[in-house]
Amino acid sequence: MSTSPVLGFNKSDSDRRKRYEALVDELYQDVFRYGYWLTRNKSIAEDLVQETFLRAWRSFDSLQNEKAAKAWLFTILRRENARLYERYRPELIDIDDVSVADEDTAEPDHKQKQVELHQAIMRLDKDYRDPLLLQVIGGFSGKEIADILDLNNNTVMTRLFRARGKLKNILAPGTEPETADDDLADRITD
Amino acid sequence: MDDLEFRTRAFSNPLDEQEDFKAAADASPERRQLLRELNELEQNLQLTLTSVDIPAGLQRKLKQHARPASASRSRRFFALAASLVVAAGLALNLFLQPGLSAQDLALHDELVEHLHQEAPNYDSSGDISWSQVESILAAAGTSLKTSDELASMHMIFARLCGVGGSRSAHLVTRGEHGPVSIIFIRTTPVSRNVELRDERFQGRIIPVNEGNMALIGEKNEPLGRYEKLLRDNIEWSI
Repeated sequence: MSTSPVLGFNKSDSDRRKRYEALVDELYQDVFRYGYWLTRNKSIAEDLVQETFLRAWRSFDSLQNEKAAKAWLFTILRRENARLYERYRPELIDIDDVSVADEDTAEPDHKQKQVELHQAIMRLDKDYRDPLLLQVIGGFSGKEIADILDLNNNTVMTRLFRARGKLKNILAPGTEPETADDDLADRITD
Repeated sequence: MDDLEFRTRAFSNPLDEQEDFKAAADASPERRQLLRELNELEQNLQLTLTSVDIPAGLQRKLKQHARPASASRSRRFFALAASLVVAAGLALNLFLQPGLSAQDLALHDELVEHLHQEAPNYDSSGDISWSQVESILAAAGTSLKTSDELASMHMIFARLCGVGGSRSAHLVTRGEHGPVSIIFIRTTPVSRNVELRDERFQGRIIPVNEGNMALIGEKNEPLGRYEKLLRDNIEWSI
């Protein structure tokens, strides 16, 4: 399980605030995107992100390792989602709830592909979707994902393998064989 | 590296930059083709997962957490305003609505305070989807039966809130004269309808089966149709 990279040595309030604001500037969009895909609900995601950064600020006496801040924020968000929402909300598989940001430049074909991929991601089991979101949105390594999800590295890499295989199968049925590859974990390195 | 290991690593991380993986990819046309397909999928994944509209003003709100002075000033302001509202509301309610319990009045006062605090956050620029509304309702332990009339309502806000000390659902729809708040509060039903006493808002808290429903709009907003529509369609979960 990842731990807070925050230690308690003091710096000035102004410095502390500037560093927090820089953290917001750098990471708030990725944290919101992750919250959105985790909950599939913009309002809940916004509430979660607010709660996440509020908790981060309260623990922000000093950031010992700013490179670990992203994993720390994602972990807080996951924990808050579990605490506040997950147990009160059924798992929603609403494949029609497709949110693709409006981009004037997007071609209709391209937009349609995005919609199909969005729906395919929604159809993935949570066990497969979770590490994929962390890898693609968060840019985390297998080891970092393993820490965030409290799994071992081989399990994470196997789930990533299966997630992409299932996505390919959903998008183009029959092109990828369903793999029974429990033994593959040993062959995967981060 | 054999084909099985290459395939496994390619699917786990198509962007793998390790030398042994890159060398293995160059070893056969089939491997290069597989990697091209996976890289294309990866680009589309990246595009899809990051194509999410970020709420306007979120960055500013997050930075506000680090401004304790202004936050505490506004908290003090709201606390003072809320105290005045509470005192005025309590006095008026006791005078004008005899028969209400202390719990009923406390819920009324909490609701008024919440409405004044939340009103600036309504965003009337675009509708939110019914699936978002349904998620919030589910999290608050309630749901609405689907009907055409309900589906025609334009929802602009859906959040969980803490009114009544429980996880309540606060929805806002576009009314004729401004936003109309609909709040489902899963607490002990009030003794009878509680009319809102406030300078700006009008509305009522209505006991509905196992909980309460509050309907609030601007002073001249007709709320009757919402009451009937929602009362007919609300379902509380256990």
